[in-house]
Amino acid sequence: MSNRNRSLPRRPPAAWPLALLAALGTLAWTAAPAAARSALQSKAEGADARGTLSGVLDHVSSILLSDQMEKQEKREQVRQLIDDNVDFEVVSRLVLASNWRNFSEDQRKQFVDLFRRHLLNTYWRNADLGSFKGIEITGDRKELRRDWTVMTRVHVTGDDILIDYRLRQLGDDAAPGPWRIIDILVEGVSLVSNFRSQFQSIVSNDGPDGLIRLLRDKVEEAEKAQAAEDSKDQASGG
Amino acid sequence: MEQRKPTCRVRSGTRLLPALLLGVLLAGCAAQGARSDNDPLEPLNRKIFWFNLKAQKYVLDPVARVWHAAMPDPAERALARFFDNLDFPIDLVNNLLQGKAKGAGVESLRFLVNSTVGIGGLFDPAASWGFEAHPEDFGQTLGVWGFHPGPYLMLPLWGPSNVRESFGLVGDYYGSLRPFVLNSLVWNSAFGTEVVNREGLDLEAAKKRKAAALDYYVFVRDAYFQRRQAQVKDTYQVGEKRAEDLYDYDVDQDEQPKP
Repeated sequence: MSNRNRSLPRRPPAAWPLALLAALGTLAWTAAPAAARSALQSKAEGADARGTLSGVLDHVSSILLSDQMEKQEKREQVRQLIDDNVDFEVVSRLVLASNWRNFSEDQRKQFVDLFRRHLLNTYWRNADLGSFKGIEITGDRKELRRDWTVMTRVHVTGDDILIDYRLRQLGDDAAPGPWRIIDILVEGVSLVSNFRSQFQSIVSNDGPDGLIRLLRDKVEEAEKAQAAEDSKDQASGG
Repeated sequence: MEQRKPTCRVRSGTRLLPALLLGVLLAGCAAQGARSDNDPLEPLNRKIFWFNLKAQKYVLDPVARVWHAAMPDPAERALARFFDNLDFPIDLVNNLLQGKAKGAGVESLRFLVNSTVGIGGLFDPAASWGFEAHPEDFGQTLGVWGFHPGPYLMLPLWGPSNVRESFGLVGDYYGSLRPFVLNSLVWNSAFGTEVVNREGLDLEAAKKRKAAALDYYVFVRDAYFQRRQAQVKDTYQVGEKRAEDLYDYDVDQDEQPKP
């Protein structure tokens, strides 16, 4: 028998009811020592990050499950929602890692734009309208920097899918900004980490322009295919 | 090393040799670091990957498409459950080898319930009573025991693996209740049971993954590595604590401030 008996998966503590938090917060803020205060603060941040994501996911669910909207309309709305809540510049910088500094200002702009479109196209293709049943938030966890991970379970026909979202608060302590999604982990596979591996070898072989070219081909191909599909849908629908 | 008990189907003494060999090789690969790009055989792996993709495109996919069209979805899922149920000894033994008493108990209960009430495993009433599967395989056990994955290996007609997982597959092979012939890949691809079934379920997903990737080989290699890592650490259920440098670009920013 193995003696490496691992502890059970750590469940994050249940989020405090917001009302209680607010009441306690005002009380504790003046009296609590700094350590306790920062613990309270991080609880509040967690509620913020979780709240932001829960709002986004509720919205996405309602669009996907709606029987009023056409497929095309659903796509446009979900796209917009993702576009508003993912920080593609941060994602791009994390994905390119140290290669970012080999990109000129112009190359960076092109890359961020193309990578953004690529992810948006990919996201929609992977949203399976037929089998989607709903999303449930299962927990959250504080990370280093201004980051927070929120864990979710997507209910579909067949096995549930576990998706974690990593969010980062823009701005700084003095002027905290909104929370934005900076990574998505599907069943433990991080999008940032995966694309970083892919791009590393491409950039080292073909340089920044090689990567941009490859990405542009991919994006244009996908958007052309999408347009063709749309006009087909329209023809059969009308 | 006394932990390495033979899995349940190992009977004869001749099987001791592979077990010894396993020990030696794993000790060797334990010395290597755990990185997704540990891929010294990349040129060969890429060729095998290419071959697998062709085999999938021209042999497995066409069979899968017919299979998928002929079989109603519920029947496909029932068959997948049936095969999962036959893997019970793998799940039981490896839960025990990893010291997971609860997992072993739940898996035993699931096997009893699903084999009877679930008509030979075609259905999964245990899950709806709150007894979710706790799958563990021998590759995961080796990971829990501290063996690193070792170099990446692309196995012909099988897919992504590494040195550790390949040994894990051998262990699982002896651990399954599936009849010998049902476990052979050739049989699978010729007569279309599990591989085709799996492919049938995943056909669309595979296409999407391919569209999402810029270097499909690296995409698969990294996804496989990350996923196995998460399964070994059991962290993927609650999210994995990542290597923090993944989310850091401050270093770059300092070195070259943005104009």
